Formats: sequence, structure tokens, C-alpha cells
Amino acid sequence: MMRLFREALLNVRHGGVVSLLAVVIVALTAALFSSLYLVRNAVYAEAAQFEKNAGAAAFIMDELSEEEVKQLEKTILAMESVERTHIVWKDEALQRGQKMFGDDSVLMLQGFEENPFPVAIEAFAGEEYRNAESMRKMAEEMKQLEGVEDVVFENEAMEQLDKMKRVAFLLGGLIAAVSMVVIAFSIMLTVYARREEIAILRLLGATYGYIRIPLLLQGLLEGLFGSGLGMLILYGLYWQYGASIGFTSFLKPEQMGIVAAGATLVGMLAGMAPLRKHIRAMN
Amino acid sequence: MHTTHLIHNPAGEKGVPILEAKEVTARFGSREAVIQRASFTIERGGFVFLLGPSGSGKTTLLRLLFGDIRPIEGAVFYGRINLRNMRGRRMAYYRREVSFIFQDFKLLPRRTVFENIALALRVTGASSRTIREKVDEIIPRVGLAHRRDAYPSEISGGEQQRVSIARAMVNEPNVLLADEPTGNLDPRMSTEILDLFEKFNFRGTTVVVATHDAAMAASRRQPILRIERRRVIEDIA
Ligand SMILES: Nc1ncnc2c1ncn2[C@@H]1O[C@H](COP(=O)(O)OP(=O)(O)OP(=O)(O)O)[C@@H](O)[C@H]1O
Ligand SMILES: [Mg+2]
Repeated sequence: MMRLFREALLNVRHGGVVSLLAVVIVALTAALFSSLYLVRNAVYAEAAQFEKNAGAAAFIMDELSEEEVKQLEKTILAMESVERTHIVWKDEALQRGQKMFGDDSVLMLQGFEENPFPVAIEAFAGEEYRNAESMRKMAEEMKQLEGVEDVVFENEAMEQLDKMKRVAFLLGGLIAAVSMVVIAFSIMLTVYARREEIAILRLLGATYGYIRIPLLLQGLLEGLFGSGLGMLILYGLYWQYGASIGFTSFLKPEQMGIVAAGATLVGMLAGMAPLRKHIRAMN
Repeated sequence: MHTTHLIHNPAGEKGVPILEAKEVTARFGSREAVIQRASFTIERGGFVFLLGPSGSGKTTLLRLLFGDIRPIEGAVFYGRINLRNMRGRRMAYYRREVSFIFQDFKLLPRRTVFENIALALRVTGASSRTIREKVDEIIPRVGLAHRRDAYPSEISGGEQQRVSIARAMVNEPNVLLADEPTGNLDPRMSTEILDLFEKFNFRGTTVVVATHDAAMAASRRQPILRIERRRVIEDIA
């Protein structure tokens, strides 16, 4: 095992410029990927803030007594998709209305004898249900309940958000794929640079395994060093400028793990991929 | 150290074929054949010269024997094993039993003289101690004691040639295939190297030396294989 690591480290050093270049390319790719990951985190955090208030409001018929409204609230709270509820009594509704319409509210309310705002029960969705589809179902279900006049929810914004998330996911996948290809090629290049050495080892009676394992370790180390370096660079930038452009947290440890593991795995596979073709040719 | 024996008791029974070419034809691409239907035998414990002018196909013939290129027709046998059936791991083991001294040395540029020679043992999984002992024993025998830690780029062509000779001999192979092993050496060093080969030969290693130098081939009272018009002719000394 020690021999293998020594050999692999030696390979990285012997790889010289090409190995160094590979590590730099892996680092830059990992930094780029991670910075987009960081942006994604910020967008998701923002979205989560918005989604926390994802809910539907059921307007209640005036005939219902206070007791009946409370009963209805319990029924709604019992629904699977509902996490918490809040009853907006007439007074609060009025206040909200006045706040919303400002000075115009005086005018608006002129013709009414009494408070025209209906009682509403707001239902907020649980975490897994904060998407357009589930929200629609939830509203549907609430509408069926006795005593509910109408249900409104922010359909549009919800759908917009869903779409954004899907785009982010696809874009992320694309960038991940590009990163992997770039990393794979740069590490394959370091093996390619050593093809003559590999050919000589074969002529001296080295088995495939003897040659492959150090190359695999070399790819692994290049992937690991590269991605580590990349994230370190990004952390440096984050530390210096992150706060000023509104970032509040760096990648989570498990996210850094994903980047490092991805680069390392790709590096390892790339380290042994081109082997068989390069072991012939003596002249 | 991993010692395999693809053939039984290689140093025993002299006179039995150890390498045999049967009607072998070799060609590169679509060009005309370099070797055409050549047949010859190299005996266990033998010492033969392979003589032919430049471009006649000496290197090609040795590569055929080494399993580095495959004949288009005919077959090469190591003992009773057809080299065509030797692949992967078995081919690796074959090359631990049959060493090659390359005309162009094939040294690794970023490793020292010691490390280059050691490589032939490292690939067999020999222990560091064994490696040190054997390499340090052979280095003075090829006159490289003062250059042990130099890199190939820091030594002369003749010295590089001696590194490749030492690398081929350090694991005590059954067969030594030497391609112009004295091409870069002065007459005195050439004599010393041939003496070294004879010493190895005396201990049981079969030696094949390819050369274009008829005088050198004639100087040793050993049998000569002559490449003539793409065939191999056995001259009995
Ligand atoms: N890899 C190759 N591809 C194409 N042609 C080759 C190849 N190797 C050798 N040849 C051709 O085969 C012929 C024999 O070459 P080879 O190297 O075997 O000769 P040689 O006897 O070793 O010559 P020298 O004494 O100069 O080393 C030459 O005409 C050469 O051009
Ligand atoms: Mg030649």
C-alpha cells in the first residue's frame, strides 16, 4: 500500500507540467461548479423563505358561528398537506384591508353598514407540499368543506417558482456534466503524457494491475487535490467578498463532499480509462 | 519476489529448443514483409548471434521472439507455448523470463540509474532489500558504480546502454534478447559486455545478440543466425 501511494505521488510529481495543469484545471472547474452551487443555495434559501408562507386562504360564510369556524379550522389543520393554520377574524381582516388600500379604504368602506370583510382561515402547507400541484389539491380539498365560500392561493408565483427550480436543476445537471468531462479529459491527458513510460513498464513484465493501480491513485489524487484547491480558492473569495454581495453561508459540508467525491471519482476512472490503448508500441 | 515458471527447469537439458520460430512472416501495415517464412531454433543454454545489415529485420525478429509484435503467419514458441496464446498476465510473466536489451535503451528519463535498473525487479514485487542487493551488485559489473544516482540525461550514450543491459540482466532471466547491445560502446567496453553475457550464459541464461558487425559475431566462436533476403539462415560456427 505504501509503495502504491509513493508511486502515485511520484507519478503526480513526474507528470510535471501536465499534472500541474490537470490539477489547476480541476481546481478551476471545481471552483466554478461550486460557485454555481453557492448561487443555487442562495436562490433556494430565498425560495424557501417565500414558500414558508405558501398557503391558501378559505373565506368563510358569514352564517357560521365562532365555534363553527374554530371547528372548521380543526378540520383544515387535520388535512395532510396543512402544517399550521391561522384564523383571520373580521377585525384583523379589516385592519389588513385598511392597510392594503390605505387612504382609499375610507372611500371604499363608505357604503357599508358594518365590516364587509369575511372571516378567513389561512392554511399553510407542510414542507413537502410547497409546490403548485399540491397547493392546488389542497385548495380543492378546502373548497369542498361545508361553510367555505371560496379559496384563494398564490398559484402563479408558485408555478413560477417550480419552473425556476426545474430550470436550475437541468442547468445544474448540464454544468455538472461539463465539469466531469473537463476533469476527465485533463486527467486522461496526464496518463497520456506517460504512455511511453507505461509501454516500457509493460515491456519489463509489469502486469496491468501493477500499472493501473498507481494510475488510478494518481487520478484520484489529482481529482482530490484539484477539487480541494478549487473549493479553497472559492472559500477565499467568499471570505473576502461573500458578505458584500449578499451571501450568508458557504457550501454545506455534505455539498463540499459531493464536489470532492465527484471530482475524485471521475479522476480515478479517467486515470485508468485510456490504459489499454497506450501499452503497445515499442518503436 | 514473484517467480513463475512458464517452462520447466529452464537451465536444465541443454540442446532442447527454448525459442522456436516456425514459418514466421512479419509485416508492417501493407508494406512488403520484413521477415518471410523464417524458421529457426534457439537452444536452451545457447549463445547465438543474429547477424544482418541495417534494416534487414533484426529488431523485428527479436520483437517477434519477445511477443511485442505478432507474426502474420507462422508461430513463435517458448518451450512448448505458442506466444500467440500468451496475453495479459502471462505475457507479463513471459517478459520476466525473457529480457530485452533495447537498441534505443528505453530508460525512464525521470528516474536515476539505480531506479531504472530496479524497475525490472519492482514489477515482479521483489522486496526493497532484495532490490537494493541485486541492483548494487550488478551496477559495478557494468561499470556504472560512479553513476548510480545520475539521471539518464546526465550520462553518455554508452553509459545509458549499460544501464539498459543491467536492467535486462538484474532479474536473471532465462533468455536475454540483446539488440545491438554494444552499438554505442568502445571496443574494450564491448568486449567486457560480451564477456559478461558469456558469464551469464555459463550460468544457464540463453543469449541472443543481434548485430550488424560480422567481425564481432565471428570473434566469439558462437553459432550465427544470418538474416538474408528476409529469411534466417543458420550458420554453424
Ligand atoms: N514499426 C514499424 N513500422 C513500419 N516499418 C517498420 C517498423 N519497424 C521496422 N520497420 C521496417 O522493417 C524493416 C526492418 O527493420 P528493423 O528495425 O527490424 O531492422 P534492423 O535490422 O533492426 O535494423 P538496424 O540494424 O538499423 O537496427 C525496415 O525496413 C524498417 O523500415
Ligand atoms: Mg534494429
